[in-house]
Amino acid sequence: MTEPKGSQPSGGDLNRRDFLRSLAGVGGAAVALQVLDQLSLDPEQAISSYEAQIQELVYAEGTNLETLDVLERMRVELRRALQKKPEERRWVMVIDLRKCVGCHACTVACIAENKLPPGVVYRPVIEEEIGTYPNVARRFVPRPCMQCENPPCVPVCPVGATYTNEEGIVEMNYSRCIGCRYCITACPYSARTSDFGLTYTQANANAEGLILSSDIADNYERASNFEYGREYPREGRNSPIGNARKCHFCQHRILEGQLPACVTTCIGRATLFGDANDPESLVAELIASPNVMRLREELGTEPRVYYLT
Amino acid sequence: MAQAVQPQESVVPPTEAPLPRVRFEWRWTDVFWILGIILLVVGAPGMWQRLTEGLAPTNLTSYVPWGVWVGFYDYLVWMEVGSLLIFTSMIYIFGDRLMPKIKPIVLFTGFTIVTMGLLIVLLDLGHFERFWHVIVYPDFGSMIAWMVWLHSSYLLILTLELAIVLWGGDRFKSFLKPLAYISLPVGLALIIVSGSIFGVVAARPLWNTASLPLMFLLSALAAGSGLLLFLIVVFWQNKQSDEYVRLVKRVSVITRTLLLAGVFAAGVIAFTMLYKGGGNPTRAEALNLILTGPYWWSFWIVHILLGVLIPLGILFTMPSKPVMAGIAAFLSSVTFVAVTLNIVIPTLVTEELKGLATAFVDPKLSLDYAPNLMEWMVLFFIFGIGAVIFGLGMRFLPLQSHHAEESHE
Amino acid sequence: MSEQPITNHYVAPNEPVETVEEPTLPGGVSRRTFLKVSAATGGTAAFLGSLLGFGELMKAQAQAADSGPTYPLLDRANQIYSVCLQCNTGCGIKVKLLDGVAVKIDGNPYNPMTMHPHLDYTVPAAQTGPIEGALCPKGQSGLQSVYDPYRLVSVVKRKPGTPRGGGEWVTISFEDAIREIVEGGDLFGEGPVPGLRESYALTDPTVAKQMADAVKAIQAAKTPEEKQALIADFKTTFADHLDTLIDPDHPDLGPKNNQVVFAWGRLKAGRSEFYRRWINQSFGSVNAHGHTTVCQGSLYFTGKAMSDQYTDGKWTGGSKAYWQADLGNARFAIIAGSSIFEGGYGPPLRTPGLTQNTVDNGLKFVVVDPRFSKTAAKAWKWLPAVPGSEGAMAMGLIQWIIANERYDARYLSATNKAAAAEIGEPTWTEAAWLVKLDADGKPTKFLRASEIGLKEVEERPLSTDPEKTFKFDYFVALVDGQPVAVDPNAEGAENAVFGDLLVDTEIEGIRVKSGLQIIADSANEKTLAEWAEICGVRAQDLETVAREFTSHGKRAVADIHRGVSQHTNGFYNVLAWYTLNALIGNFDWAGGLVWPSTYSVTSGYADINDADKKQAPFGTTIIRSEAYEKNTLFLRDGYPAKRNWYPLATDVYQEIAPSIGDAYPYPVKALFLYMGSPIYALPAGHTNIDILRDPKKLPLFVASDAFIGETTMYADYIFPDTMYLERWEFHGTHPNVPFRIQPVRNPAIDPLVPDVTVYGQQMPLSLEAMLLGLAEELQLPGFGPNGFGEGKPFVHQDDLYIRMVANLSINREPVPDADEEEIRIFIESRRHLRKSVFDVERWQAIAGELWPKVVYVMNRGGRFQNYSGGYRSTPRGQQLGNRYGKMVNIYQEKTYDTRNSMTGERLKGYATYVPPGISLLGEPVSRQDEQNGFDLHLITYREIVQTKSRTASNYWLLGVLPENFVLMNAVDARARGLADGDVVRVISPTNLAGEWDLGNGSVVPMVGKVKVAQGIRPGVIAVSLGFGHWAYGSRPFTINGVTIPADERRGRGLHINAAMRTDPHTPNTTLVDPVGGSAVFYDTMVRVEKV
Ligand SMILES: Nc1nc2c(c(=O)[nH]1)N[C@H]1C(S)=C(S)[C@@H](COP(=O)(O)OP(=O)(O)OC[C@H]3O[C@@H](n4cnc5c(=O)[nH]c(N)nc54)[C@H](O)[C@@H]3O)O[C@H]1N2
Ligand SMILES: Nc1nc2c(c(=O)[nH]1)N[C@H]1C(S)=C(S)[C@@H](COP(=O)(O)OP(=O)(O)OC[C@H]3O[C@@H](n4cnc5c(=O)[nH]c(N)nc54)[C@H](O)[C@@H]3O)O[C@H]1N2
Ligand code: SF4
Ligand code: SF4
Ligand code: SF4
Ligand code: SF4
Ligand code: SF4
Ligand SMILES: [Mo]
Repeated sequence: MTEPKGSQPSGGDLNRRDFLRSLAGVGGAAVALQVLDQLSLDPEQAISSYEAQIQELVYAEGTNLETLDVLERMRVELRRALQKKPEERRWVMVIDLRKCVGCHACTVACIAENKLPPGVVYRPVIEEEIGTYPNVARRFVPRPCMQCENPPCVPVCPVGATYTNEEGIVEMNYSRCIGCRYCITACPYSARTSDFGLTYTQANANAEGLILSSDIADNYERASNFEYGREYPREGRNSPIGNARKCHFCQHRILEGQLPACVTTCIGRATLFGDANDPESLVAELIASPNVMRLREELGTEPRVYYLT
Repeated sequence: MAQAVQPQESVVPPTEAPLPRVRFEWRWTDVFWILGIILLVVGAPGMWQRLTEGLAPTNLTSYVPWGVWVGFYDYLVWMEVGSLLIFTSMIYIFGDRLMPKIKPIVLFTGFTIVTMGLLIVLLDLGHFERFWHVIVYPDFGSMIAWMVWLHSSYLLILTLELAIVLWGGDRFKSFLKPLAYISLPVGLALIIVSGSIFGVVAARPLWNTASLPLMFLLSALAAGSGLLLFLIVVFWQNKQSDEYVRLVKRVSVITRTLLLAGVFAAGVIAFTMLYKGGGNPTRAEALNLILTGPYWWSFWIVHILLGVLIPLGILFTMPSKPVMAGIAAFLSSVTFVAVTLNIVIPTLVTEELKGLATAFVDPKLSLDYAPNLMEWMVLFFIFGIGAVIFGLGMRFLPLQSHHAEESHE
Repeated sequence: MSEQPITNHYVAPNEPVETVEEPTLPGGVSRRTFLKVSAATGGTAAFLGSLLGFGELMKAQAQAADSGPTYPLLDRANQIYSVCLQCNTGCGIKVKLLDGVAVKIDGNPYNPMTMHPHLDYTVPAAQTGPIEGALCPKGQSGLQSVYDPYRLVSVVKRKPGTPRGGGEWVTISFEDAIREIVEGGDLFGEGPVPGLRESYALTDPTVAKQMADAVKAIQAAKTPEEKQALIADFKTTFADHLDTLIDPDHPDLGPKNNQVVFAWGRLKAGRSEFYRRWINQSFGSVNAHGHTTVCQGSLYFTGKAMSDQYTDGKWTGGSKAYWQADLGNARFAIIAGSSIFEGGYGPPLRTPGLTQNTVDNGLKFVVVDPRFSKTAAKAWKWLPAVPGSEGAMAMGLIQWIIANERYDARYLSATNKAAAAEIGEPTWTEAAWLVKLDADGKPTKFLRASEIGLKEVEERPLSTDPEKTFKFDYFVALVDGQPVAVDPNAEGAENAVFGDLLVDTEIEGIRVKSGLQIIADSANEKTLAEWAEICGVRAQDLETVAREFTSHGKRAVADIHRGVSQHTNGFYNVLAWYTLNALIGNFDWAGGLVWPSTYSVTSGYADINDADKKQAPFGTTIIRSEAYEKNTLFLRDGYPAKRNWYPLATDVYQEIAPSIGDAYPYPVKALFLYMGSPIYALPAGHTNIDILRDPKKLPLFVASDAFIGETTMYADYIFPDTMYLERWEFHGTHPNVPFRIQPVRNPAIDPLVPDVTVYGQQMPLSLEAMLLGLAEELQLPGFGPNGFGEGKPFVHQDDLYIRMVANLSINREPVPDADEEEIRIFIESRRHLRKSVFDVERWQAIAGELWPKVVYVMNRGGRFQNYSGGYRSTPRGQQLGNRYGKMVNIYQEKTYDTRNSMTGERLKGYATYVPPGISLLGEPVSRQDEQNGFDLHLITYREIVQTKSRTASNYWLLGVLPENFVLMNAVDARARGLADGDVVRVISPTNLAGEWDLGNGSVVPMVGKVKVAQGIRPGVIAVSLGFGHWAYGSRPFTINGVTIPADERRGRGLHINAAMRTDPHTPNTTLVDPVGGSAVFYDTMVRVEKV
């Protein structure tokens, strides 16, 4: 942003005006690229025409909504980060427990996005009740992979099938992994699970012509997933069947300019994502809040997933 | 494997059925391969499932990724490496003169068990066809990688030793000592590494203690000496001889000492863990699970009573009754599997994050683990393979004819 | 449609038109503002468009650099935009396809349910591939509903010789099924079954019209004698046609056609037009009934009563709709009996506003709920009030606010449209109007100006027919103590009347009070401490909440839902809470109350409800949505009526089967049930089993279902249906969406059901095919080659739906034409659909010149007003862009004019507290039950991961919650010696066995695991919805002798509705709200027993 953020602790309070200003400042160039592309104007013209549009938007009546959806802000920031060299970005996730409503949409979205079979879950949400009637609290703690800076799961792998990539994501090389599951035991967050090659519908009835039947109904379960930007058809005993699996911050989506599936579908807007190396980013701002914490910090894993309480 | 060391001057054509004119003579050791075949048959369905459906039919889950197979693996390694460590050091370090007499049997037993262990490890992999990745894409930081290398090396050394003992001319005999010397650190390392596999896992407080590898070592030695004692009692040829009683006694003393030491060490470790439990609830929880959980009996009855107290009682009270010592040895070495299982499983069935088990519920995300029939069947199959190898070895290899080479001491 | 009346433009016989109309360029918006808004709109487009474009650019660059990873799901040609139906919210979705298989569902970014702000409507479709909004977990798991192994793919018939519910089926060809249903005969080896043809008795529209008029006269007759005379006349006039009537002695029951009943659970526009056209217009039966009252009936019908306007001398035109809060813009909210994060209409829409606003802007909200819901978990205060005491709480708050004069006096003083306009208020109330009191001091009707000689009665032209006139008598308010005549709809500053608010006086000998005074007196019936005691909360809490509620101007709001409406006192609870909102006048304000608004789909290009094809059905419906006293049955039976009548409510779900069972008001020959499950869904739904099972009570029972469900397992025939990713619907909106929207559900995957042939056309086996097949067999008007008029066929679903999209595309303001690229995307993304579903030529031919607009709309999954249209600035602050803009009835003369059909007493027309748990005849049954040892109060609620009968097959959701439980406070558990996980049986006064008796030899015990918690009021237990299935694949059944094994995962947990109390007067029916029609879910006392 072109202005210092002031003392407000939470980034969500960014109003539309600030946001647009920031966009014009930092992201403006990026947007200009596109305007250039679309309108075939020269860059200066493009920027000024874009800024003019923003001015209109800012000052138009009837649009001064209080808060802009953080999803929009994060999308812009994501695209900004993608312009940098991969090693210059540092993806982090911030989960604002004050906003998490325990809907589990993230869990299910992740399962659907990554075609996770029974036994594999990347991001369960842990529910907990605290207190005594009538002074009760409920806490919902989503648990993706922490993408540890110091990941205990990595050094244990006998074949180097899991490693930290240049952007800080702990990746899996499915075709390398021998499925020894050592990494699963080593992860202190139980963030790794094992693909046993099951499908959810396989126990169901098969009576073609009378009912739809599981042979047809499991077609979506057998569809390819696109983790790590590769296509993995679920056939035979091919990877990732037989492998350890884990959350990968939806790298295949990030690379296409999309936020991770769990972030996109977070109805509480509790899961936030971005490049911590970008000082203007929402996540950079949030991880500097006083109410930030990380899970099992005492282990020294240095998670890249931060929680706000 | 077995076929790889086909005897040169074989009595029987290697693969075909025995020729009719050779009269078949039953020996008591045929019990091994017959038992083996039974085990193979019994275990076959499980093995079939394992090969066609992978790990899905096991009771393993994502939260309890290792189970009875890993426990048995460690157990087999303990027994074998432990027994060979004692055996080898007794011969080469302490200059025991009696021991070499059963060298072929001990080596062959070792060979069989190590082969079984390797099979178990292979079958436990989600992608065993990628086994070679460990060699092609080695990761030196990984205890499993080391384990695989050490295990393979150990197998190689054993095979060589065995081959030399069985068929090696004098020219090769001179390699035996260096091989034995190499086998010591490799075996030691294998045990320590197999302990460190667990020990380095900071995520699991019950495992993550520096004392774990030490405990592994002590336990391996205890279990191994039990096995050794057992082998002596069973396979010593001249049971009337003085040597026999002497040797049994000697090994009994070793065994009971190691058992005591192991139990003492384990007790101290457990006590400190429980004591410090206040500081580390997960550790205490796992430990309590071992001591008082649903499988308390496997610890108290199988391990402590059958595996420690009774053998100790026998070994202390009747040190010169070889048959009783054999029983004690058998009990202690067989029940040691309870220890490895108790190390592997309870710590895994303890939630790392409270509430995780109910956060997303699936049979494959369960923390309840007990091996199912299929897992046992696979183990039966592997024990079947082991028993067949052993039985065939007993029948076709000159394991008992060659009496130990003249010692070099 | 029952919950979303806005898109329905069909006029039911007893129902006024339900439309929400508003000028295109709303009055009061200056040209300048308008221009700015449109500039902003353009700006938003460019702004958001640029975000999208950049992603594309990046992608192109990345791909050019190295042909790196590709992600086919981002390609618009692999996406179809449609509408979720995992719950009834209907969020916009994009269905991502891989080789024709739906592999992922995400939020449609054009649809405001999923992104805030949503994308500008003009953003080119091609750019939206990577942009997606949020969905709840059920939306995310929709694939598992559609790709469900247990879906039916063939028409099935109950195996002849086996009883209903026996679980033995045979397949039957579509054609044979249609023929059997129409012609009847000995279909099951149990004797003759009357076919539809037999009931299709009155077919001459002219006779029907004449009869209908004659019946109207009979009903209008004031005295019994007059009525009898008119009936006699009727019999002679229609002597030749009496055989077409159900009962010539009661001609107002209507023709035999009425003995065919169409019922539904979940019916949305499009299918609604189809279904109602068939039964009402073409077949001529009045019996088309939805499920509204099982849902949130009293919200709708209180809303309807509150939205009546004084038009042409009558209180009329109220919409079956209600208000909800614009939470995201509020500064303070009370959320009562409303489950924002777990249920309600749209967690994806409503949650982010609430969470962001709470964390970022310090929004405070209070949750009134006996259960510590997930919403309560984020609240500033949780008030675990006693179930059923909601009305008392509202009255307590009202009392404090009036006593402390913290209401918006300026707003309330505006008596008419002119006054409201003058102070910049979109709405106004009767707070200052004078109401006459009776001898007991009870409020009656409004004082009219002529009664005190203030102003003469005027003759005014009828709005519907300016040739005719009506008598207009002014209302009266006091202005500074002087009576002034009030015309509620008058415009112009000179007609503005601002009345005195608290008036209790006598004028010309007539005792009167102002509307607000009546409400104040009602609120003063108890002290604040007494109200608090009824609620089981501290008086101090009420005071704090009331003060906070009145401390944020218009940006405070009370949001209510089922927890308030589904009680025996539902109507008055709802009225009280809306009255509370009226005290601060937050209707149509940002952060206040929203009224739903949508785009019309029924006319413009093609008039869907084409009048000349209609046969006006007439007669009394089986659920009796009319005044009992006018009906000839009143002459026969008097008070109390045999079953309750519902003059203020329609779609009374709990009446359908029991009325059939009691043959009251007349026997029914055939029931069609579409996408509903009264046995499972209704409180005490088990009482419907014995009725629906019995061919003597119900000779023919036909269902349209995608599965064999808990109710449809008793059907004679089940027609498989296309599911939500395979079919058409116009989902409409909800009262918390500030934008005008009309999402379009359309086939995204090739239907998994086979094709059948009707009218020579191939079409998927579906509800539409069933209706067209029956129409063809019966040769019904309104369908067939000239169904839409000469030369305009109605032989395929496309004939209706494409016309409706065309209507939508030009409603209000025509959408732009799709360009070539958009058309390419449109066609390419549908390449996997078979010809019977998608045929470009066929579609294009129907849409005619509007084709490019149709494509434009469908590429966006419907029509959505831009974000900027949702709000507008006024000198007094932010208001909503789409307004209710009318009078809000806080005093209802029409309600006062209505009588309870049991007691004959008049109803009260204002907010008041009525104790809960009351039977039709007024006994306090719940209290009695409690005294008889039923010591726990049973309530129910939704978990975010389940709906009723459609998601227990979603294994991903079962992972989150594999079964439900009996939620109980630790104190109660301890007192009963229960621990977490213990299994208990739930027993109620009207279900002492604590079980579902399926009538087929099986019994499903109502047993479940106890979950011991702190987060529920002691004395209350809660059981969530959606579990405990006994059909739907959870138990084995046979088709053609083949046993289909069950999947027990789908049947875990318990379904509690059979514990819910029945009414002593109508023991085959749940307790009801006799006014608002609600089926009652929360007033049952139970006991638990450990098993
Ligand atoms: N305990 C408890 N009970 C409740 C509630 C509660 O909160 N607690 N809530 C109530 C509310 S709000 C409502 S709205 C009602 C809803 O009650 P209903 O409207 O009666 O039930 P639905 O679940 O909408 O519809 C169920 C039927 O539709 C079938 N079906 C599913 N998909 C399709 C399809 O695509 N086509 C066709 N033709 N059929 C299909 C199912 O198999 C099933 O037979 O439930 C009520 N019941
Ligand atoms: N997950 C999910 N979402 C849905 C649906 C679904 O089936 N599942 N269905 C949709 C439909 S059809 C509807 S109608 C809406 C309904 O949406 P809501 O009416 O918001 O939901 P409910 O869960 O029925 O009830 C609302 C709240 O009332 C509380 N409650 C229960 N008894 C009482 C009481 O006596 N007093 C008070 N004050 N509160 C009480 C419950 O604990 C619950 O938190 O949800 C829609 N959304
Ligand atoms: S959370 Fe677990 S899986 Fe993820 S990086 Fe850390 S140790 Fe590895
Ligand atoms: S399971 Fe795969 S990734 Fe994990 S440690 Fe073993 S080989 Fe490595
Ligand atoms: S970032 Fe992607 S992979 Fe990780 S939890 Fe979220 S959706 Fe799953
Ligand atoms: S989607 Fe968001 S609000 Fe819902 S459980 Fe996940 S993190 Fe929490
Ligand atoms: S709230 Fe969820 S289930 Fe309901 S329509 Fe929206 S996404 Fe679908
Ligand atoms: Mo509903």
